[in-house]
Amino acid sequence: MDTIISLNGKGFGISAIDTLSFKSFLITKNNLNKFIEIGKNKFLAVSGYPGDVIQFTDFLQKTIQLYTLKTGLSLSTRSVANCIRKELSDCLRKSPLNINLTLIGFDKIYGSSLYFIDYLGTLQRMNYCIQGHSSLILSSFLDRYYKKEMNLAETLNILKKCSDIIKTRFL
Amino acid sequence: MPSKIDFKTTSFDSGGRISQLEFSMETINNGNPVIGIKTSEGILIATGKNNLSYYSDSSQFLTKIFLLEENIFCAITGSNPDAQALVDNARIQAQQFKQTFQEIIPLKKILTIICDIKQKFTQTGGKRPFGTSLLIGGFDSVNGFQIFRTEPSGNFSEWKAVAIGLNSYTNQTILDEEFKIDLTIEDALQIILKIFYKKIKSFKLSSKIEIFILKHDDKQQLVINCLSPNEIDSLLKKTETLKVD
Repeated sequence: MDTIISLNGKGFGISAIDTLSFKSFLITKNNLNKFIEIGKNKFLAVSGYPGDVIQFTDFLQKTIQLYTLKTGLSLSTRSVANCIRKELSDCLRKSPLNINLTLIGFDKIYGSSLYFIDYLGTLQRMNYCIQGHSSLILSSFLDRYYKKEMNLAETLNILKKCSDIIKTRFL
Repeated sequence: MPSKIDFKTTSFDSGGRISQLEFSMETINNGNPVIGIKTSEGILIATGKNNLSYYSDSSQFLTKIFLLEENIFCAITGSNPDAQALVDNARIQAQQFKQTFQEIIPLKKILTIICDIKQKFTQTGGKRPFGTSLLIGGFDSVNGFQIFRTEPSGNFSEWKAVAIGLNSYTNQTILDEEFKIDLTIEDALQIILKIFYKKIKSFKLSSKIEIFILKHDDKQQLVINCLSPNEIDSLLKKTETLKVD
């Protein structure tokens, strides 16, 4: 199960995701890029079954692009997050997709915002969030060490510590 | 049988025109007059009401200005039922947009939704076009205040000051003369009075026209103001006193 660690810093958002792609017990690729850009100032970190991931994010990326072309206006991060939530909700009731996403976007007025989106259609704006099994271990770590408005060096430091913890505790 | 006018709605005639669209413009030119003026402070739309007989009781259904979303409203002229169908559809689309994106639909998007519907009826299906012209006004954080006019063909254009409906040509000429770049809402109200008053002259102005204003209030919130009959009548008094002086 993939891990996504995302933090909100001072005027920026940062996200770390592992680059492993596996099928049951075999590692098929160890440098897979799991970030998807949406528009000019938003990106998604997606975890889950690769087929579902590509099918959903491709559709989403192109829908937002079509909207931008049709109206000449760009969507805010909040709108995109709600759009994703609605799509996942609809999928859940038809043919469930097993993907979890974190959306990070930058708007002129609100600055950087971070949205946690679940495969059930849960949507929550947060300052820091973790997805995947490692959330059991890292949540308490981040609760203690995360501070608002950190600069880039401090956030990188925290991410490095998270990665060390995962290496110690996970297979 | 050969005829100069081809009554099929979805085909061109030999002159390169769609005759049904020309005829629908006739419906619009007989509809109630609507004036829209865009000022730096906000948008003003005024429509003329139909003549009421004494026993008519439908005063609440007479309005020709409808709210499409929180800060978007439109005035209709021409065929009322056609316009109502469009307004209903636009309202549904605006709320569906809000359900997906949790944001108020941009003005341009709701405009293209309405115009796409209108255009579809001129090209497919063999049905007649909508015999209405809509004046859509609203505020965008990107483009500020905007007024758009839509036509039965599905064409739309943005305006600073526009007149549609009855006597649109004369009214547009008056607007062209009177409009200045830095108008205030008060000035725009005076222009509207000038246009409507010369035809009405006697008795109550408020039973003949209705005025909607979209502007920012003191707290920088967008507000849509519908002038009450008393306010419209008091506007007239203001002009009267000015004329006397």
